[in-house]
Amino acid sequence: MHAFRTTRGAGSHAGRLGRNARAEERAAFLCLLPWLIGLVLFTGGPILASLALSLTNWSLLASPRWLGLDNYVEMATDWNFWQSVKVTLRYVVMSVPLYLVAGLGLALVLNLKIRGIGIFRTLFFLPSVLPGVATAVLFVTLLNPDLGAVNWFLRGIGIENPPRWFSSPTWAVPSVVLVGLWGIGGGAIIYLAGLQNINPQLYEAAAIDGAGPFRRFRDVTLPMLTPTLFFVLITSLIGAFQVFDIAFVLGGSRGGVGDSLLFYLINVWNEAFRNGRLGYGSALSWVLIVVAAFAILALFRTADRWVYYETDPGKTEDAT
Amino acid sequence: MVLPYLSKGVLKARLWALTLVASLLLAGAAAPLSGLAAQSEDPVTLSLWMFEGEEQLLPALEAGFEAAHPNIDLEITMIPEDQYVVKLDTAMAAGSPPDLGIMYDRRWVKAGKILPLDDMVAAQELDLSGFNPAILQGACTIDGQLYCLGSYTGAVVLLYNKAMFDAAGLEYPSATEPMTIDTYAELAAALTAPSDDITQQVWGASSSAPYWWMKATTMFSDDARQTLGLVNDDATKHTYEVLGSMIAQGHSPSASIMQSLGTESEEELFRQGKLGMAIGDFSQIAALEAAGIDYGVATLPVEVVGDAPSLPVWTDAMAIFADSANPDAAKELIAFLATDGQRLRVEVTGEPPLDANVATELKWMEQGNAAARQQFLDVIATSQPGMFVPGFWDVTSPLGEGFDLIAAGEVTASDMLDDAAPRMQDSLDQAWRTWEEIAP
Repeated sequence: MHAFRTTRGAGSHAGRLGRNARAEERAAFLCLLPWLIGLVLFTGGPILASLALSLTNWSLLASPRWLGLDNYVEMATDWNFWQSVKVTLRYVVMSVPLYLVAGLGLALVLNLKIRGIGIFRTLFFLPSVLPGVATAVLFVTLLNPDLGAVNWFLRGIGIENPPRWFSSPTWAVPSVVLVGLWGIGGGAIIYLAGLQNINPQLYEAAAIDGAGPFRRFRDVTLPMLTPTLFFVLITSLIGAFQVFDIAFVLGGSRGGVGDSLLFYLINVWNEAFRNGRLGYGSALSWVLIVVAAFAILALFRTADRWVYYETDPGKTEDAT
Repeated sequence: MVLPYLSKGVLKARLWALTLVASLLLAGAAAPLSGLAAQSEDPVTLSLWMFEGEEQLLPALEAGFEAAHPNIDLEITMIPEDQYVVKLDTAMAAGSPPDLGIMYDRRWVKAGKILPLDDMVAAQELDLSGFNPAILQGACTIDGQLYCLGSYTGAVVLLYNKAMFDAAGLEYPSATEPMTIDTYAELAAALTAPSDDITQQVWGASSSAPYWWMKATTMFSDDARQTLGLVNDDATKHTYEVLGSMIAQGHSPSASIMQSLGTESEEELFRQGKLGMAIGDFSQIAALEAAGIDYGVATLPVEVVGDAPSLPVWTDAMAIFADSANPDAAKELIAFLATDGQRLRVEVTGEPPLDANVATELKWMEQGNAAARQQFLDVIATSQPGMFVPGFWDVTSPLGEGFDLIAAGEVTASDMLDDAAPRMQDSLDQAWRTWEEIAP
């Protein structure tokens, strides 16, 4: 409730700024100006330019030639486009729910009040600060199909033909998902912050009402954690659409065995820079932006139904 | 300028270069240098973009060239090879390419971004008669004009371990008469010495997707416009099946085994005495001979009896970019590379020079395994200019990936090639369209 009042207070205050406040505001904008100019020139400009380029044929070596919507039409019959969509969607479907659940599970464990928990939190978080390339190299060795430690162990327990991991079109994407689990400590820390923000009185009240651990998790923890879940869901989804570096290291620039790791951005990079088709590459990028934006907007549309904000006046009343 | 990798070896190479240039000048044997065009005394900074692999030569080249041209400062920028084309494309689009670089992509010539060198060759009176004609024609000459020159003869050849052949009672492969892929597999089986300890295993031969070393006409039509029906014909399917089965049967190391052993290439495994035959790059000759392997050189296997052997050959194809701010000084560098640069190359890296006359002059054959080096010269004498296929590496990319599946037993060669062929044809058609849209 406090946060709600503060927000409203700030809103009403903004309508009647005094002279000093206005001067402060001008100074703030002045300080922001270099960043703003950079944003417009070096981010906004290229974004708009890429939209224009997506309607042309441009190889860097010659002037762009106007194509209209031809680049977008071409995608309908482009095998690599559909393969990259398939690989990326497969990864999204497999990784996003898994990382949400695994991250939450880890956070619940790290939220336990046991001796030395700080050490465990540090240990679980550490892998997430490793660069993606280093992680990829580590897993290439571990998951080597012939002499890797994982398959050595699997053979040891009687599995004669263990998966060939990145060398198998069937297992390549699940292997990348598996590699991603290495970094769930980062997500778990966000969940942990959310968990520690939950008012302990709610648990006490639930316990007094006879709720067991499962009921407390279902009826207190989960609802109170939905803003964090929503945040992690959105960022995970964006991250899943943007897989590049790890796939580049694991599968190479050509998309791995049988194009099983031809992620969408790998395909964009190939078309733009390997094949010298910057116009087509720009068109592919815009399709990704539009699709990802729709997916995220759709999630925001559903948020009203399942995300609970403590500062929301209507829901606060319901909760009380 | 100062290069960021001045190791002991590099300093040694620089000293070598300085000594060589000084001795050439003192002995009055610097005829190629005296033939160069009159040099301006104005200071010039010449920019050269290179990629990895020339760490030994470059300091020597820089020192040697700067000693011969005191007014020119050669600035060398190293760019990872997989980013080389992108960086140069971008620099050219921005109108600020380096003065010189490796002519990595023929698109640059078609777009008018590379300067022809014919006038320089005439002005400097460079004698190209001893230069490997397949390289000169295939890599550097386009529409009758010369666009690049280099300092060494690079080639993919078949290396074989003589001691292993002797121990197995096998005849050495012919230097110039190619064996079929079936014979290659039979020899590999006979040379393999299996072991439970992977570090003690000896494999008969290397095996990889053959698209990069087998004759291009096994998968493309003569005009390079058609691949469907050729890359998946019976002979090619058989070749992939045989090469894949060599790995499956343990006669050749798989990519993952090589990775586990920490070896970067087949050549490295060959140098360790763990490979009977290797289809590999001959430019690593110094390391090979230093390893003490008694080796022989032969031409590459072919699909079927009667096929002409193929031999991918190349050089450090140095070219001048059309937007170079210092084209005259850049021409001096190319002239130096193609003359004294070749001598430096032999002294510093031991690689075969591009010019057979330089090989004779420096007694290159006698500097190592003379019999094998003679075989190498015999083999490269049979080389022909390679076929130009736009976007070759992208068009053929499904083959490399598919080969790993064949070797892993996940797909048959027939299915893989039938699946890849239409995609390759689409890529090839697109590559030709992109190529034809490029105009100067």
